[in-house]
Amino acid sequence: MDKVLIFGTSHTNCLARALPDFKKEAGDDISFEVVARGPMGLPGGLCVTNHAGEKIPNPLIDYATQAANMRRGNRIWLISVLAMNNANTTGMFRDSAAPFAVASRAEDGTETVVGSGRVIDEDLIKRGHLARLESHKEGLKTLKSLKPHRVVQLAPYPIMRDPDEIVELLSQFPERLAARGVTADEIQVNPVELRKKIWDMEFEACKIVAEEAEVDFLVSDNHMIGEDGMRGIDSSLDPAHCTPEWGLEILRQLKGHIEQAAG
Amino acid sequence: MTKQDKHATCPYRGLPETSYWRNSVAETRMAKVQPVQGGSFTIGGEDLISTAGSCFAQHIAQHLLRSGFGYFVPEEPHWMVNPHIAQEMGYGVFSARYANIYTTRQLLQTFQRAYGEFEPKERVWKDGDRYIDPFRPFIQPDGFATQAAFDSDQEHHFASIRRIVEESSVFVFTLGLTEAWVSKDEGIVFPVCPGCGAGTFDEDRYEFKNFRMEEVRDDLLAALKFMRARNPDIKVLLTVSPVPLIATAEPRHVLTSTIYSKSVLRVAAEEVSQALEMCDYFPSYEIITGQHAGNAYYEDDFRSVKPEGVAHVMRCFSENYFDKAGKRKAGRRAAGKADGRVSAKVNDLLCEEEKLVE
Repeated sequence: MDKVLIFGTSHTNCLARALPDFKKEAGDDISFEVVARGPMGLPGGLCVTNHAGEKIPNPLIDYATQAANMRRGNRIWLISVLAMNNANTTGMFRDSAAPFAVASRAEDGTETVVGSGRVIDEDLIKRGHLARLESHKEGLKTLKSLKPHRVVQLAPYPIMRDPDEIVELLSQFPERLAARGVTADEIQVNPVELRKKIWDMEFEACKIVAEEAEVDFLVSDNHMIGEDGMRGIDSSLDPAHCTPEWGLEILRQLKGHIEQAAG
Repeated sequence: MTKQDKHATCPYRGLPETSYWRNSVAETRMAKVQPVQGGSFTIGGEDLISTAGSCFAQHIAQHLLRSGFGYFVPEEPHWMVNPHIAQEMGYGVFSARYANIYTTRQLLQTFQRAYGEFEPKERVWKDGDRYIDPFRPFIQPDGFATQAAFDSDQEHHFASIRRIVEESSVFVFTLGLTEAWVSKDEGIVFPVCPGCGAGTFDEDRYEFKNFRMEEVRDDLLAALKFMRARNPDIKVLLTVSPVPLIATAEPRHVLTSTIYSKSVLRVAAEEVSQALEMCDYFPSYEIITGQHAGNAYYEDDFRSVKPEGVAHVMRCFSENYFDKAGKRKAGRRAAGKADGRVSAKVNDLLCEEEKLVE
């Protein structure tokens, strides 16, 4: 039997909420379980340091893996929904005090600048992403000590295109905005080209980290992504997080990936 | 006439103990030697202190940050730049990301460039498809990927320098070298010889220059007057770096060149501090290199200054310039960090001069 253990931050919630419905269609040969979710769901991240100073898998994942392994012959799949939060939030809103643009250079030497304000080289931002994800990469590698069948890193979910919809979704939280001293009038969404550029860089960094950690990297299915690479189906809970409908699509995709990988 | 009476009119009679070598150096414990005669101004909690100069100035910057006083760092990385990457890029090492400014001519030209009063034709070096700033060639590992980012960063850099000139309460400058490489046509002073880690050396375009005392003095005077014209209340603290030359381009021994260079810088600093009321000389050079220390403040390479030496310098600095009442105010302001003017970050020491021998 395939045992799929899912863990991550707030982007795991859409999967958890979709799971009760999905279990009916998943069948008996594969089980899905959300081990940890939410901002504090996995304290310490994928790995923690033991008393001897060694990096070991997070005990939550370790215990869940051991429990899933109780029956001989089970195949364990560890699904990381970590490392995608920045991709979904960074640069979404224009910081009027410090606006920025990203400069890229094509192989023929042509320069492209998206956004406006202080210009930052694309490669500099990419290096920053990779530096930030270094500990995540080590965490993914550490998970292999649990001897799962495979480790899968979910790619960052695509981001929303429509700035009006982003503002509208954000306006659901007037009290939280007020608590942070922000009024709705102050909210300006960055141009879609800039947001997409930032997401592309985060996506690329996440992919590199998955490759270097030698784990699967599961990209959202084509039918979930628009032609412009933005989120293709109406499934936004708030400007950064997705609905259970999106979660259901991801779970279906995961099942397909597992069946395909299992041959 | 008694023997004692023979000294009755001696002008040395009645001078303070610090005027006597035996009392203030020979018979004083190394760490207690205190050659500062009191500052002509104090640094309070509301003051914004900026730094520039050679490697040793970095120690001053770090001390300012730890002290809780207002270390002014207007040039900060954009928040999109990862803090670890920003650290590699020299943010916070000095008040602006100008890296080491070794010569007084370079300081003057830095100010002039920031205000558009000097626009050298040679403003960028191409290294393959990367853009290198000749005036701070190692500030960005591998340079900039695009001209757009290079231009934008330079614009931000110059704006930060203008803020330093116009908003600083105290400017601390450490004189480092007299030897430099300059462009023959425009007289641009480079911090590092072209071809030594960045750029390409071309003897038709570049030449060696060892500044004389008058040149060092006049450039420093011009630079400080440039600041004062835009910021009449600014105070300046001059120091001379005790770090010897890593190499000399003069056809002589590096030790001889070092002593020449430090002597010139010391005299120039003295003359400028005498000429400008706004300006004090602070004897960090003497604290580290004086006979009382017997080279104990140097590492085994006789070049790198040990933490104990830095601590001695900074202790004298604090005792003579910090207004203790002001520290508390500054501490609160630094903790609040609301105006973003007081940096919470100082990077690891970087010394570009090391690139010379790579």
